[in-house]
Amino acid sequence: MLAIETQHLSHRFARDVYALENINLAVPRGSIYGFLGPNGAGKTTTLRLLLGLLPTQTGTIHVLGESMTRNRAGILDRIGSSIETPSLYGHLTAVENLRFWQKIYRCEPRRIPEVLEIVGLGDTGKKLAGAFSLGMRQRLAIAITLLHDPPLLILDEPTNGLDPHGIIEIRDLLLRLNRDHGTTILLSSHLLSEIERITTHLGIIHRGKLLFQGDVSELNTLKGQQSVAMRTNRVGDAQAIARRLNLETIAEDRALNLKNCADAQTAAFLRELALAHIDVYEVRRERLDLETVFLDLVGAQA
Amino acid sequence: MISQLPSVIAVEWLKRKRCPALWLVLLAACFVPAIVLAARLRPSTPLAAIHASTKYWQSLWNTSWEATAILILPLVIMLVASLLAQIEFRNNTWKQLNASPVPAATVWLAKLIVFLAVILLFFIAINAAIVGVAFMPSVVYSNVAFPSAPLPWQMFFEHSVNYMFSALPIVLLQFSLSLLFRNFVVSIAIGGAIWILSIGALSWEHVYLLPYSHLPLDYLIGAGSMSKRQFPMEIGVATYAYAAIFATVGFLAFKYRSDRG
Repeated sequence: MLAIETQHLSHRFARDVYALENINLAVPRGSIYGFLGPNGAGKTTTLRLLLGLLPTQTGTIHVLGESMTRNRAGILDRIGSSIETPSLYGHLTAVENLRFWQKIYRCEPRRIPEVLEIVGLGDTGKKLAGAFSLGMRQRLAIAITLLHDPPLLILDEPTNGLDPHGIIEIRDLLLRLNRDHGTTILLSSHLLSEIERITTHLGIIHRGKLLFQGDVSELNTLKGQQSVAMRTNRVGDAQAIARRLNLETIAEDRALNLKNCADAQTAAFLRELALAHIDVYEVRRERLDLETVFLDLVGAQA
Repeated sequence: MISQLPSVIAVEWLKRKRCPALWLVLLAACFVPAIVLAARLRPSTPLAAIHASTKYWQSLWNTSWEATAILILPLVIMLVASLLAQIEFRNNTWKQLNASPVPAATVWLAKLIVFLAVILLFFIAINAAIVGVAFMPSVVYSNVAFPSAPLPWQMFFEHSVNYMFSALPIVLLQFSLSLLFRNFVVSIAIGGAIWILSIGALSWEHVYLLPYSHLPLDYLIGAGSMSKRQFPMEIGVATYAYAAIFATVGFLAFKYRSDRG
């Protein structure tokens, strides 16, 4: 079951210039879906389309099993969203901001202190939201999204401007919501480390095109196929053997790196090294981080 | 839509908390009456004769409303419309509001009702201020009697209602422009230009075609400075026509604008 499904979603701001091209987003229910891409990749445009803030030009959008064009208000009633910078009334206090949305979403007034406590803003008193730090504003924006206990959260860069402690808190909060309430979370970010740590599924977008979509294990497989690093006493000889086996290598001092080397190729290479009496001190599968994978995907697309 | 309207009006009203719009309205409403009061409290003013006049209230009303109807109220409407709309633009909250389950029609209507309520406050404040001007001299000077003519509540009410309806084209156009343009200077500049044109053309027989002329015309006709007969059509018809056009076009432009935040 998908919480969000788009089919052939495209959007143009100017004639013939596509901000999004044929985006087929599939966000499973109960997942934390990381929507990753550099600035200007089309993340916010996609999220704005999902929320009906931009008119759908091409393609279809289904959210929580319903068509966005047919039941926009009904769908939005079940979504908590925060797009780009926090949308807060700076001349109102945190409680007054929440009271505003509590009436809009027609939820219980008791939710106001509850969500303030959840995001750690329970003691802001009469301080106006305009005087909040960016981190506090982000937390209040998240509190607003949680107010009506929605089954789906759409958060655009929610850890922007937060200090490391704040980032950890928000990350824990999102994990807790997902685990305890089954809340589906669509999370956009360009902070690659953040996406990697909490998401179960990933979508990587670049220049309006979805380059990768799948669960984290698929990405791990992709990572696993990347490279093998080893230390040896005869780098030159080892490199010659690698070339004979059609393996792409990078040699550095006493280290050799085999690019795009599958498990079977690694085993065959090691057997050859042993037969040639080449000493191997260390062999390890390179733990490529998401940033490297992302850059590889972007590079391949370019 | 209707079921949500009361709660959306309530939150729209909450939003104008700590917004200078209310203070602006109260100060503007009391501006001319305060000047009149200051003039009357001068020792040289023949208060006894003024207070004994049978046309005391009509005269006080005209004095208080002349500059208000022609100058102050149109300006207040333009500024308040911008101040209220800027709450959303300044705080970057349109996107959050438009991503909520409240239909655009409800948001638009709730905002209009709150705007009208603030303008209504202007009328209440100026009426109270005019009554205050009448009674204050007798409070300050014990030898001055209260105005002998009874307070004409009905005249105050009827004139106020008339002026409020005459101001509807200004209210609805400024409201619509303020919601459309992020830059408040645009809406104030457009409104200001129409208003200056309207004031400049007051002696023209077809001045009613300028939507911002209706409020000054209503005052001038009520004060006896102009006659209804000098215009080839009923001004009220033009007022309602403009109000209907501005409301319809304004709402459609708000509902179908391409970028909602």
